[in-house]
Amino acid sequence: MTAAGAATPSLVERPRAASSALRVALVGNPNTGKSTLFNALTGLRQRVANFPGVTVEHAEGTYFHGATPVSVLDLPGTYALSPQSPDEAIALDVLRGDAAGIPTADVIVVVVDAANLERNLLFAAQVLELGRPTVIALNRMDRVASEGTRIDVPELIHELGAVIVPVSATRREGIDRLRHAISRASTLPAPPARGWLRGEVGVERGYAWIDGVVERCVARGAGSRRTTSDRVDAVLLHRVWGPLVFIGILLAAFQAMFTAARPIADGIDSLVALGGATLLRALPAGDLRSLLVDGVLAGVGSVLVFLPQIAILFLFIGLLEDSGYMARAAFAVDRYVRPFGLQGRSFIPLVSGYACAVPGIMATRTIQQREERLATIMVVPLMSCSARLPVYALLIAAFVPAVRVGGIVGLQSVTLLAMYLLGTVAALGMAAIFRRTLLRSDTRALIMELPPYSVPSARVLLASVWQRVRIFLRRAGTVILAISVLLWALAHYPRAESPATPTAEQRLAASALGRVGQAIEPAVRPLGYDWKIGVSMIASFAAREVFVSTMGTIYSASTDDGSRALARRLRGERDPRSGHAVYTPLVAVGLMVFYVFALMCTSTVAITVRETGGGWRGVGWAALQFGYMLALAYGAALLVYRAGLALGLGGAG
Amino acid sequence: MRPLRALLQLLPRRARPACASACEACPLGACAPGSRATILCIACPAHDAQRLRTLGLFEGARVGVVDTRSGIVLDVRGSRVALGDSVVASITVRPVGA
Repeated sequence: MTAAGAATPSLVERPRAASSALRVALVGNPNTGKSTLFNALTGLRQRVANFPGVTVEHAEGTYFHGATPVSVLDLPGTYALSPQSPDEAIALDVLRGDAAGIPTADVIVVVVDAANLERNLLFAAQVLELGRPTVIALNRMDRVASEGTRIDVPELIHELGAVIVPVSATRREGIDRLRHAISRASTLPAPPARGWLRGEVGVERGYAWIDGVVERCVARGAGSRRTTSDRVDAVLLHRVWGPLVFIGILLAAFQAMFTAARPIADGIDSLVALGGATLLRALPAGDLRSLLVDGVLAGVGSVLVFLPQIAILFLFIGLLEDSGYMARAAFAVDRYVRPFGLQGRSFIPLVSGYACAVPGIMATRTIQQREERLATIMVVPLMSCSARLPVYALLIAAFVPAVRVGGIVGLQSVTLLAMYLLGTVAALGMAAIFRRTLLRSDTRALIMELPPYSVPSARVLLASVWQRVRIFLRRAGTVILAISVLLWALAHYPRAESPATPTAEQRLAASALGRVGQAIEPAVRPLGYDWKIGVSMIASFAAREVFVSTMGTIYSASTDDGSRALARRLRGERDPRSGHAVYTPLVAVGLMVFYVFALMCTSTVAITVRETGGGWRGVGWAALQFGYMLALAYGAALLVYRAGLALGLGGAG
Repeated sequence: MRPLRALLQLLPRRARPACASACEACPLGACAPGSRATILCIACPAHDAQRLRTLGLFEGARVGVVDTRSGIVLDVRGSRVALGDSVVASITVRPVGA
């Protein structure tokens, strides 16, 4: 085929051991239907992993062509082979065979959007320049046909000097031919590397060449999908309607996360409870039973209840991304979050944070820029999540009088709203601080492609939801389970010695956790807390709502009836030394403020470790996140308590 | 040395169409939706210019103006590219046709 090819003996089929898989790298511009093609090629035999040491993610899947296993690596969408983001740098490294820990691909498959050859051919031409065995998958041929456009594929093959296979990934047409071409390409000589498209001059020269190619190979039809897309955009990119529609869609989604996820979460909850009850009956009372019920099962249960929310959020994000709406939404809200060093795509993770920080942090994947993504991850847990609600609810019910301000709004709901606002303002403020200090980067101007609207593929959607769910179950699940068991052990050992039948409070006081609580009492004293609150705070590291159940344990009060009994007990609690009330409204407000800021959530820590790159790097980011939030929480709670005392609000219990 | 270096920085690295001297030049932001234009000059930081170039936006490229209500949406080589206000302000164009 070429001089370079003829000089090598590779025209003879290279023998391939049946065991060694053919390695294929799938690349292409963003919005070319690459993920759909990846799914069509590999089915559900795929997994998602981070590249070693970086936060860039790739999916890997396998299929069999005859007896040969073919392993397909789905690389991040790339506009050009001049890397401008970590994603693009990784893609280039893998294509060149320079990526650490990733074997060189035997065949490169470039996905090209047939409906947009004018732009897509540049990247394809640049990849051909690399001089590696390459197959071009000309995707979305169905769309081209429906527009009445004709592409002269033989002529295009002639112009590019490469193997081109027309496919339609959504209709799963041409997939077998593509598989065949991939297997054949690995045995054919590679095209020569010429290097005429390098550098900035290369890009302009390349586009000039493409104009000629398109003129010779493409006969445009009349019906362009663009007009429909533009008409929709006339509404969705409106200065006022655009953000309003976006907020409306978000509200609907979060309503779904709260309401639709609720029955499933409740179902999981009752399954866990059923399992607990069964174990209680089947096993004799003792440490093993307690470990299984209060440690393992409770720990696993606290992880599983997040699943419906994660699944719904990712279904929703997938819908927005694959329909083409996400780019518009990010464009519409970008100007509002830009002053805080964030970008339009930070908006969804932040708002998801109101439901749960875990899916919120996982949702930062859509942010390509590293510093913006890390800053978003760092502040998402400041948004008051649904797990803080039980804590707020308990303290507000107990200490904020149910009076109306100005006869209209209840003081209790105003307090609740204030807590949510406090968290939101802190998140934006901290993002601005992070982006001006640790996570500084060149301010990147807003430049984004708005892909044409399209109907998302159910297969791709479900595959992406399944990937997220699996990641959460596997990675976070193991860590959270381990920490739950550890916390259980700390709360149960060593045992109380003195009374023969110790009360729950005495047992807890004698345990390692109780001793830590008493040891840190000097630290929480300035905030107006006693050791019992300290213990509940430490125990709530498993999950914030554990604060309520631990308080329930300490005060041996049932928390089932909307925590009203517990609220009464708290109001009556006196300091044994001074006889003053332990819980004044001031202490309660301080405690709420503490929970607004404090990262008391194992799941969030676990997911931050993973999403910031894993390993020690991830642990470092998670430690920083936990540390700064704890410092913020302590400082704010101290400020509230001390300022309140100075204003003479302390004794109002 | 310093004045010399300052002078060197003033020199264009590559021949570019002269923005100031083109009499029909106007800022991209002044273009009406539905109009077409040729890009004369892009005066934004190099890394942004590089991103614009890979999307097909460089001196001499033809674009269509689709939407100007918030930032700007351009038709670049058949795809829609949205630009924020700061980028729009750095681009000078010559309107094509009328």
